[in-house]
Amino acid sequence: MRRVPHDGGGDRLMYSALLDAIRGLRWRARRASRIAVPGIHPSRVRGSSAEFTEYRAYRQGDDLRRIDWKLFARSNRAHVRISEERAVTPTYIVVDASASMGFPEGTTSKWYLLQQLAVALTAVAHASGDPAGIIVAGNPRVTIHPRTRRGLVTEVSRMLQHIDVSGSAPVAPALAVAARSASRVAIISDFLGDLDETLQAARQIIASGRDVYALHIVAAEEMEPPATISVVMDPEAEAVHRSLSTDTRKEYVRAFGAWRDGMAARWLASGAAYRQIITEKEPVSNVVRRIVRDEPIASLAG
Amino acid sequence: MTFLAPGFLLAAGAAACAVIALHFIVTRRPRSMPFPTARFVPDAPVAARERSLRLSDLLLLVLRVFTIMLVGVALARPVLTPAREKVVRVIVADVSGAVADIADVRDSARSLMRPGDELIALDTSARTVRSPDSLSNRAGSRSVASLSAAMLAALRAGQRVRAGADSIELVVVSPVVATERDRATTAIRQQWPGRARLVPVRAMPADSSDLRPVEAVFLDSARPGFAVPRNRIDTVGAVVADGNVVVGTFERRWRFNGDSLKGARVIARWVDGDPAAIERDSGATCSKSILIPLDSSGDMVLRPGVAKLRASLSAPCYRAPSSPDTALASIIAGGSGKLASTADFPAATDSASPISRWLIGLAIVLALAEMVLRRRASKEEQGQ
Repeated sequence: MRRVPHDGGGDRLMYSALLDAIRGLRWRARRASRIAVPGIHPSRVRGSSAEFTEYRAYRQGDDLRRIDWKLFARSNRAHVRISEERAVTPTYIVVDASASMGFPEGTTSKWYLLQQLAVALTAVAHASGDPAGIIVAGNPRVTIHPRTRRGLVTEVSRMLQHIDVSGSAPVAPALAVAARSASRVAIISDFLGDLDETLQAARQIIASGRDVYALHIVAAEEMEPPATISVVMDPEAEAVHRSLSTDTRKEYVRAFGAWRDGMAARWLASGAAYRQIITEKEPVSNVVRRIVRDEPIASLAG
Repeated sequence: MTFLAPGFLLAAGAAACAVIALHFIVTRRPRSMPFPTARFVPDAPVAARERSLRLSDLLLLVLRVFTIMLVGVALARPVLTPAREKVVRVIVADVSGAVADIADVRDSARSLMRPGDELIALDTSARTVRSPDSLSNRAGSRSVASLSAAMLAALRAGQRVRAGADSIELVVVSPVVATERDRATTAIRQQWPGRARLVPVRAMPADSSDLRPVEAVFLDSARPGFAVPRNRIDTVGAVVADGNVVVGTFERRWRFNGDSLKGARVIARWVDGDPAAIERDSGATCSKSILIPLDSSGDMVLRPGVAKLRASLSAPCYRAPSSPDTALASIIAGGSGKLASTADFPAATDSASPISRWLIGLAIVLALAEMVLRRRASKEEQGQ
């Protein structure tokens, strides 16, 4: 078990610059929420709020209090007032804490980027008035259920700094847990584990009318392996030893690119918002801004 | 410096060459680096090789080579030889009862002795002594020396001094009386590969060889004459008297102090060399003081050797007739006419090398240092 080095402070002060940069951002929902709890996002529920939308002919069973009597007096027909409701979007951030996220050794830039993204997205959701929570798909699985209380961002950041990035825990079961209570699920992973199962679980969530964000973390060293590396080993399958020669390096770049393209296509086809994020290529605040505004990310391949 | 087993030097040299060759020939398989997307690398055989020559590697190589060479040198048993003399002497000083005045022997030995020479005292046995001053008060009146034993001791001494000289001269300071000859004397003398010099001293006059009645013999008394209690009572395994060796468990309660031995003759010794019985002239008679407990109870007294010992110790004081034997003298002084060459003496293969243990200790230290350095280098590799 390897514990990722972390700052001893371990609170949101560590992310103060990032949180300042994303202050004021709101994470708009891609679909109307089915939740009845009042919030800022469009809701599928039609109610009696002050925000008038349209009239509808009275039908048997409608509440008599919703009949517009002045219109009835003018038209001699009974109509009820329809108004659009606003609701919250409970959000779950599902993060992958398998050994592959601890790459590269020493800097662990993948895990560091994941921490920043998770904290920033939690902060944005929290600032939007949405209950936000996080599930760490690791061994053991750690969960903070969606809530809106103060101190949530600090709690999430502190929890992430004490996670052991090791093993090969699957993401799909954590996704199933998130699907029970969230209207929006953001998966932050390198998708090198149980990709098929994760995709299947995501499809089910999307089919039920909820949002799924697939945030694919890729290390810059994975895109272009350093020349000093000659023999590589899969940290989640130590039997896999491969030699990185000049020829195999080219083949690797091609195969890895093809895999990323194929995976992006599968995620997009499922209806999820797929983003590929490469370490140390773009400020995290920019990445977060594009995610919540549903804009394409500069590092998105293809 | 000479080596008693130089073959180990060659073996160590060969092993060191092999280590050096392996250090530069063997290539290491590089360490596998964790790489999450390793699955996308084509599954070709891992044949990558890495050859690196760092300072720590060179230090490791030097430590390994030094360790091997030190072990080889230690096993080769190096011996530091002093400055080589042209001639060294092996001096046999006869201090047995056949000598009229031991002072003559001591003076002769003192005049002959040079640094690097070996001095062998001969009475009932032959033993190496450090200086002529040690030749005093060693022989009992009835001690009969054997020149055969002296010659054997001289041959062993020749092996010891062979490294320090080109030739070895054998010098025998003795009256050379007939009682000192046995059937092996001539044959053993011929094994000395060179001539010998005989330095005659006065023999005990024949007319003084007589029987003197014994005044007192203490075998089982509470406290023998001239004896003092030992600080710690112990047991000893054998006693030697008059050529007889009696093996048994003897409890030692008493000992002779230095004053009691002055003017006395030792007639029996414990197996560790301490006097077990002495005799002393007192006018027309002589007195004996015996520390050997020959208890009449038990079956020890039934043993023939014990009975013989008891009879010998109880007998009147006796001086052996000692007339010079000219034939024996010519045998001793004979030989090839040349000094014995040191090359004729085989090297003593069982010699101890005091340097070896230090070399082994140093090799162990170097091996530990190599292990520490290797672990540190391994940790550094893992940290990269």
